[in-house]
Amino acid sequence: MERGFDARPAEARTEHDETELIALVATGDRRAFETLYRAYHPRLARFLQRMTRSTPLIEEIVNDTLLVVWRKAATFNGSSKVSTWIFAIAYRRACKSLQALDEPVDAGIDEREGIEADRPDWQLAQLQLTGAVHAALAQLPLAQRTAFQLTFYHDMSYTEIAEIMECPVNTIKTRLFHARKRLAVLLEGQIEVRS
Amino acid sequence: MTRLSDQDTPDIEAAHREAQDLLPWLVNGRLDGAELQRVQAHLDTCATCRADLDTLYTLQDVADLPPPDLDVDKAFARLLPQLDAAAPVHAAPVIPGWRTRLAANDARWLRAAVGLQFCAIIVLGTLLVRPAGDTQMAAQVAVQDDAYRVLGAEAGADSIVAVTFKPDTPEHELRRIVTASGARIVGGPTVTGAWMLGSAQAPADVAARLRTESAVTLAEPLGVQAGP
Repeated sequence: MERGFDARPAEARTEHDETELIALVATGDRRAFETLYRAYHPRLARFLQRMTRSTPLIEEIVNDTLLVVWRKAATFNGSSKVSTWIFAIAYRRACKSLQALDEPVDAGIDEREGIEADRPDWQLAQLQLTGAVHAALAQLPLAQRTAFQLTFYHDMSYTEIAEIMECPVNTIKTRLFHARKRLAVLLEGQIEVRS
Repeated sequence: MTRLSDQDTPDIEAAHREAQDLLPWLVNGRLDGAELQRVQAHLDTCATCRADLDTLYTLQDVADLPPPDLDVDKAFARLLPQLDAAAPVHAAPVIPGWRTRLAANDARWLRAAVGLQFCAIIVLGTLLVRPAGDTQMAAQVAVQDDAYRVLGAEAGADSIVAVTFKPDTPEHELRRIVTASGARIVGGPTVTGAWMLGSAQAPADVAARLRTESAVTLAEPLGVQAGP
């Protein structure tokens, strides 16, 4: 039974393919929705884990987001990329959930101390640096951290990030600038950060 | 060393500020066109920006977190029942036209195809039981007799549900799903890969139960067919 959607791995899919998937979802096609769900579940979970350390909450926000995608696929008008549209929904849902719970909007700081006792020095140094950067990022205000994360770990343009966070492009640039300044202070002596 | 004029200095400062703003997007490869050219030209002359660029590459390399440990299959299974409750909001599809209309999952298309199939079955069935020769009368009496049943058929109306499964669904799983839904296979697979299930229960109830199974890709109630 050959169907009109793309079952290739997410990384092989193009923007055009994703737009077709959304069109099929708009007609109520569950298989197309499942394909989209499996492509975006890990991406959104990775994005959200810097906003909350609660795994059940991450899953709830991911499912809420993709349920909105299921219901509102027909309203997607192609003026932005599919990924921008979906991440914008996820960001709004996450902000709303965290506000409702009154949860401090800090990220899950990596707590993996003690597992690297037998590693070579250079690997140990790398792990320590990684831990320090995670901790420093967790201390950034949510808006700066989100802009930083979407730039460096989701490879988004400043225009896309501005759409997701619903603010002007210059605000995004300013947030990144301040994030780097703050990281420079927090990581002083551990990494060369100048701004 | 070239001496900078007073007019050049503001230009250099403006280029430095622009490069500082845009370095993050040079790192993630999303800078292009004139902006990319200006930032690259500035980098050739600015050691501070080159050092900052190295730092940003380091930050990008070390700090990405692995995805959290979530089970996608279970998460999707938890979402499935909500899909029924939250039907898609219908608007003009993004890709209207023949591709959408010909999609095998299009319910209108599927209903028409299944309806035609039933008509063909009824016509063929009528031809098959049409009496001939000396046995005509006896057969007619049998057909008119209310007590007459095709072996295995149930009395009363039968609801019909069209269902499709994931291509890799094993046969025993398919049997389990059909049994658990309170239905039985009465036809199929069709050219679109759909199976027809019959049940004494309401078609919407059977379809709703089928949709909770992750191996089911489509379950569409087709209505009630009068029993023999």
